[in-house]
Amino acid sequence: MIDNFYFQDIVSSLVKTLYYERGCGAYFRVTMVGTDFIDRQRIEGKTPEQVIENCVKVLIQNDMFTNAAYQKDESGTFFTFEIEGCRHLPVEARLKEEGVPAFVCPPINMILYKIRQLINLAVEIADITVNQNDGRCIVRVVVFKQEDV
Amino acid sequence: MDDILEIMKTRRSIRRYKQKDVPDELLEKIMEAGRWSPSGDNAQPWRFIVVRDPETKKVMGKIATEGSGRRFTAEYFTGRMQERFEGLKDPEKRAKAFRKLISGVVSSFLADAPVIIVVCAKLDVWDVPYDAAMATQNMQLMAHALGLGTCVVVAPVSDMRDDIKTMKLLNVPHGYKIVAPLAVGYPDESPNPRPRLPLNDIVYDEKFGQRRKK
Repeated sequence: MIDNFYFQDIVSSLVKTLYYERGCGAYFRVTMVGTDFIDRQRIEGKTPEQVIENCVKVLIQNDMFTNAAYQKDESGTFFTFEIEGCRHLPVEARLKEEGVPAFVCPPINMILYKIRQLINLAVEIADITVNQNDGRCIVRVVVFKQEDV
Repeated sequence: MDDILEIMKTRRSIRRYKQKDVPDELLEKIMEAGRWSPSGDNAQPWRFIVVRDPETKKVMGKIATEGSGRRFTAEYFTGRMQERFEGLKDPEKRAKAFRKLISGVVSSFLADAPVIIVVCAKLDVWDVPYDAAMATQNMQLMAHALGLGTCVVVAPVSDMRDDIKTMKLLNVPHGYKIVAPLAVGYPDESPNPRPRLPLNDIVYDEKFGQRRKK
């Protein structure tokens, strides 16, 4: 019988393959992974905080993760997310064991995509740290207004 | 044989161009060099879009600037950029370098290149990135031999979010991808050579890691 382990095998193999093709540049090829899902949900918000909270609510309702908390620095640009009980964690844990650094985070992709779409701010994942032992990931991102140059 | 090595050694990535037209005959020669590149199964997957239209170049420059700006802002906030520039001690120069990267201006010169040759590739072949990369290199060397400068600027296409916009802008259809936008023009700068690793550090005998006996 096909179970979750099977899909975790498949996803981790594909992610690993992409990493071996593109190295660190693989990150740039996966920034939209997951956005189809969030596009099918009704998300609103006029500030990054509102969008984040509304996305988190929907993602918890859909069993994507059990909790997501965040803090932002004094500049208001640098956000640190802590995600617990994420569906993708087993995949990331396996990749980490195999020496592949974490470069894709679908739930954060979704949140950032909505921030960009709804309030037109520039968004980027800065880094992802997987802590499989305590069942959580730390994802640092930047959210900012990009000046016209 | 020494001539080709000399061309390779004196080529630089040029980011400042004279505002002078590049004649079609020279562009033809550059693309002819691309056409003679090797490809798996002789598939010749490359297609070249010659962009001269200022408005299109402006949009490409904007996409590139935004992409680089996002990337380097993230790098700055994690402290990786500060580590990367540890060797640059002068605080003023350091701040200037950071500003150039964080704002994305580092890639905006693409809009000012007289010509952009956008190297695209067909996807229904076996060795897309390698074939197209070899064609791009051939074209850069030919351009340099003709007295022109080039720079591969991947910023408008490296991130999927930007890639989609650039593909749309240039009407690149499904079944193709953009591999390398190549800025081309007469150089208005002469950068120093960037350091190269010595051969002894990068060549092994028989197995990876086995130093050459010399």
